[in-house]
Amino acid sequence: MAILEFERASVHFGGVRAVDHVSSEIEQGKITSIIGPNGAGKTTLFNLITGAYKLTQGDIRFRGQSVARLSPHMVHSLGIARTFQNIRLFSSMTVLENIMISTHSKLKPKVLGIFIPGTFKRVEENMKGMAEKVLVLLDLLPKAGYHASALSYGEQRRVEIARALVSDPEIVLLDEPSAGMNVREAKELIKFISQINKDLGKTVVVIEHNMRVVRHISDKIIVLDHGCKIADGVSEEVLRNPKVVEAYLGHSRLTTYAHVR
Amino acid sequence: MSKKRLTQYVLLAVLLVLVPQFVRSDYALHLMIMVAIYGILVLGLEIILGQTGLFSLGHAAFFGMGSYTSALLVMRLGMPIWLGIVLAVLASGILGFLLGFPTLRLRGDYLAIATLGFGEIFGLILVNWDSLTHGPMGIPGITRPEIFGVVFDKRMYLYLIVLLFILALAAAFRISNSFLGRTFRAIRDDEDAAEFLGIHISKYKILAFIIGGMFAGLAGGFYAHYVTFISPDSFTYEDSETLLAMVFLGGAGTVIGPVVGAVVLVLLPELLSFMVQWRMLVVGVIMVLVMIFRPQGLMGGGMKFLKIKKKEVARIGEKE
Repeated sequence: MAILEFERASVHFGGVRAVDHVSSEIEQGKITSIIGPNGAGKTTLFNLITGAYKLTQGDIRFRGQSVARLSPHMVHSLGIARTFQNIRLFSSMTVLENIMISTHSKLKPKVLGIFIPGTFKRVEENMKGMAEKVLVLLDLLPKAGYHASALSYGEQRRVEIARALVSDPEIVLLDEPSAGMNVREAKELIKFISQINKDLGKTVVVIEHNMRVVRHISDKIIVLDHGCKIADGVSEEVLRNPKVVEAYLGHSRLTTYAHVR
Repeated sequence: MSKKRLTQYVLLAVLLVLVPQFVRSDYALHLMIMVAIYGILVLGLEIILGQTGLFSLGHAAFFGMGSYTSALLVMRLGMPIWLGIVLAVLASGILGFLLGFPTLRLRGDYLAIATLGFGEIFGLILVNWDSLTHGPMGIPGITRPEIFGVVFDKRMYLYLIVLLFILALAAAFRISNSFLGRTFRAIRDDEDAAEFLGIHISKYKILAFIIGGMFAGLAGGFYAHYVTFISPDSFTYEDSETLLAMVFLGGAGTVIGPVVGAVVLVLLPELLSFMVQWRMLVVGVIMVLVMIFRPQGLMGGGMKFLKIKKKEVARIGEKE
C-alpha cells in the first residue's frame, strides 16, 4: 500500500527546476532509496515532504491527505520525521536533551503545566522515558549526559536518527545517513536500518550515495537527475538501467563500453 | 524535599527577614531594593536573550509598560495597587506579544534593530500622548501601597520586592529546567532544526517575549509605586542597554548569571561614588576586561553560543 504519493510534484526557484514533475509512491513498511548525482534534487524532495518548501505544482499526499500546505512542525506531528544531511544537533544541550526535544509532537505538553508540580514531573519523566528507550535501541545510553558536540561523528549521526525515532513516526526520512562513516560503521548502519524497518515496522526513505548501502537495504529505488525522475523500481533492475548509468557515469564511449563488458 | 534542604530554606528565610531589621541606613535599603528590581528585569531578558537567543534591545519598554499601566490604573481609575500590579504584568505580556508577532521572521542583527525601534516608538508614545501620560512631565505622586492601614516604608518595600524576586527567580528556574526552557535553547541553537522536530517555533518565540515582558511588567508595577514618580526618562534605550550588559556580564543562558550581573552593575557605580567623575570609566573598563577574559560571563560555563560572542567581543575590543 502506498503511504506517501508524489503527484507531479514540482518546485521551481526562479528558472531552476529543482524538482520537476516527480510522480512516484513510497510503499508502507518498505525501505525506499532515493539516489542520484549531486544536485539532482533529492534533499529538495525531502524538504518538500517535510514542508520546508511549498510546491510550485502538483501534490504530495500522506495516507491520502495532502501535506503540501502544512508547515514542518505539523508534518512532523502527522508522523513524518527526518534527519539532516549536515548534522544539526543542538550543540549546547546534552544528548538526552537533544532527543527529549523531539517528543513534543507525541506528548503535546501544555506550557502552564510546568507550574503545576505533579504535571511538571509527569511530563519531564515521560519525555525522559521516551528518550531513554530510543537511546537503548541505538546503544547510546552511556553517552546520554554528554554534550552533543563532544561525540564522534558516527555517534552524532546515530543521535540524529534517535531524534527522528523518538516521536514514533510512521515514516523515517534519512538524509545520507552513512555520510562520513567508515566501512564498519556503514555495515552497522545497514543492520540498523533494516532493524528500524523490520522490528519497529517503520517505513524508511533513505537518500544515499553509498551503493553498498543502497544495494543491501532497498526494496525500491527512485533515481533523480536534474530534478526529474529517470527511473524507479526494484533495486537490481534500476541499477542496470542505462539511463541511470548514464546519469552517474556520463555517456562517453569508454564508460558505456566498460558497462557492457 | 530533603530535611537538609528544608533547613537551608528556613535559615535563608530567617536571614532575609532579620537582616533588613538591622540595616539602619535608608540608602542601603534603597540599593537593595534597586538590585531586586533589576534582578527581576534581567530574569525576563534572560529568557528572551539568554535562553531563546532573541536579541532584544527594547526591554525598557516592557518595564515602562508595567510602570505606566499600574500607575495610570491606580491614579486614574482608583484601582487597588495590587490589582494594578497584576494588570501591569498582563499588559507587559500583551506588549511582548505585540513585539514578538511582527518580528517572527527576523533574526540576529535585524531583530536587534527592530526591537530597538520598538523601544524608541514606545518612548515616543510616552512623551507625545500627553492626555494619557502627562508627556515628558511624567506622573508624580503615585500612590504608595499600604497594608492594614500602614503605608509602606522602605523596609516593607524591601520585604515585598524580595518576596517578588524570589517568586520570579523560582519561576525562571522552573522554566529553564522544564521542556519550555529546553525548547527555548533549541531555538537558540538551531531554530530550523527545531521546527523540523515538531516544535511550533513561532509559538515559542512569541511566548519568550510574552514571559520576558511579564517579568519586566512585575518589576515595573512595583517600581512605579516605589519611586512614586515616573517619566519617560526612566525607560530609555540606555536602560535597555544596561540590562543587556547585565545579562552578558553575568552570563547569558545561566539564569543566575544575569542576576549576578544586575548586582554588580547596580552596586558598582554606587561603591565608586567617591570618584564621581571617573566611576563610569572604571565600570566600562571592568566590563571590557570581563568580556576579554571571561566572555561567557561571570557565571557562564563553556557554551558554544557564547564562544561565538567571544569572537565578536574580541573584535569590538580591538576597535576600542
